[in-house]
Amino acid sequence: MATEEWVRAAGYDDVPEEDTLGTEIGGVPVCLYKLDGEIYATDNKCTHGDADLSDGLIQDGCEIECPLHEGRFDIRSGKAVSPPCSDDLRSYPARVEQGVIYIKLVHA
Amino acid sequence: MKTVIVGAGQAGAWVARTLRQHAPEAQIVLVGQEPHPPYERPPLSKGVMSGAQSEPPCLLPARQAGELGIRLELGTRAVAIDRARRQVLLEQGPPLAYDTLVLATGGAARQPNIPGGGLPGVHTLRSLDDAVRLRGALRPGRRLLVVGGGWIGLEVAATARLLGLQVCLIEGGSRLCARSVPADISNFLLDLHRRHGVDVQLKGAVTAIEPAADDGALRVRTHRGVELADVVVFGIGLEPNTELAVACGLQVENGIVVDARGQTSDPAIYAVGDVANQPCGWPGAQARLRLESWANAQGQGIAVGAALAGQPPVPRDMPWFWSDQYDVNLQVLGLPSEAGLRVVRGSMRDAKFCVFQIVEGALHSVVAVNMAKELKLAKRWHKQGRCPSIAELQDPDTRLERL
Repeated sequence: MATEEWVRAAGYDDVPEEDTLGTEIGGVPVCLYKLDGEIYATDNKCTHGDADLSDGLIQDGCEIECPLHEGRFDIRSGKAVSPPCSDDLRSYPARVEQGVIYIKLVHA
Repeated sequence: MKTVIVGAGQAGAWVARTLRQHAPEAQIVLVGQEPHPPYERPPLSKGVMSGAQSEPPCLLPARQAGELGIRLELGTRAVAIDRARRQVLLEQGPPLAYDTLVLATGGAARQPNIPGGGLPGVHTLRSLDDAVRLRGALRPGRRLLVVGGGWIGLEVAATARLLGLQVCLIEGGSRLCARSVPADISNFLLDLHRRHGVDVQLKGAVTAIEPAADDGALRVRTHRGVELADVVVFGIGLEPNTELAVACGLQVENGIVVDARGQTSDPAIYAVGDVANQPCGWPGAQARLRLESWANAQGQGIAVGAALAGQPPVPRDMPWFWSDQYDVNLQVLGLPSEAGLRVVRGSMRDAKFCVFQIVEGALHSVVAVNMAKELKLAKRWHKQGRCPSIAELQDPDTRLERL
């Protein structure tokens, strides 16, 4: 049965505004984003090539652009929105408590 | 509407996918000479050749093509175009009728024109099958001789060094990648490869290859004498596959000549990707350019697919490509030259730098080594028609994304 757990990911202040932070949580590379003060989390590896999205640029407010081939994903949902990417990223629920970011991992 | 696309590489696949996206009713046939469904070529000289990656990303797996109603005719050679009847003749099987024809025939690796150039053990690299053959040949401890100091030659040399081969690279010109980067970047690449133990010879020449022994080794005659090698790879450029276009009387000059929409001298025929010679308005470019890059294949493929479906023109990006060698990711935006000012951010010695070329106050090109983010920012500035000050570009404490 799948179990869920909220795991500490980083301090809220570790993620700069309108920027990214790459980190690893339980062996999973995760990219954290701060948009308008709100935290989002997705897998950090691009679904197309071998690149870390945390090295990419946030474009048009809510899209992360892969630093290698420039495919884009919606930061809020992980949805692939431009070529060459067609497979979506996994996206993780995130919440902030007392200056700490937690994300929800689901274990199969 | 019946569309036939000849060439099932990256450009052809993007034409098919994009056309399908905008035109659910279109009949689309994609004809490819290779037995494989369309795939991306960049990993061939890296992960696929080393074995780290079993196959390159596939752009249109057979099942997906079926779901999208795109007919894949693989392992099939188109032998002629009958423009009067609007038919493509195949080596085998009935002719394919078209309303619109797209030539995405790409190119072939230029073959060595020297005695012994066809011996076993002598390779070129263009297709997945080439890469798989090389994967079998590049065994640790063997001696590899690479001919050609362009991007393919350098990537093959780097991959082979990482696999533990002895590598000698011979380039005829006085510097590496002279066609696409300025001298300081050529020098950076030379230093990078020498530091990794590649015996790089500039202004060299290979004149003949002979079998050396029963174990398959080769004697390679070069400018400095005879070299022994187990494997020889020629990375000496690409010849655009223009035979079909020439034979049916289309305008061909360093590739198939197309207009900004990708149309050839016959309005029913388009050309895309490595084979297309297109007009360009990029700074520093000649009036026309044939681009051999992943980004062009995708971008032009999407543009032509959209045009065929009657969509408004898609703005085209500046030319852009990258190369991965050892732990270096190098990216080039625009068409770099020695003109104007060249502003360096970061440090060449640490292999983490960016060179912004500014001509008359405008951003002209960027070469970035392990600084992809800065290059992507430059692309954004270029689109917006602006350029930060030299002081801001040079200062490592300036957060460029905040400008």
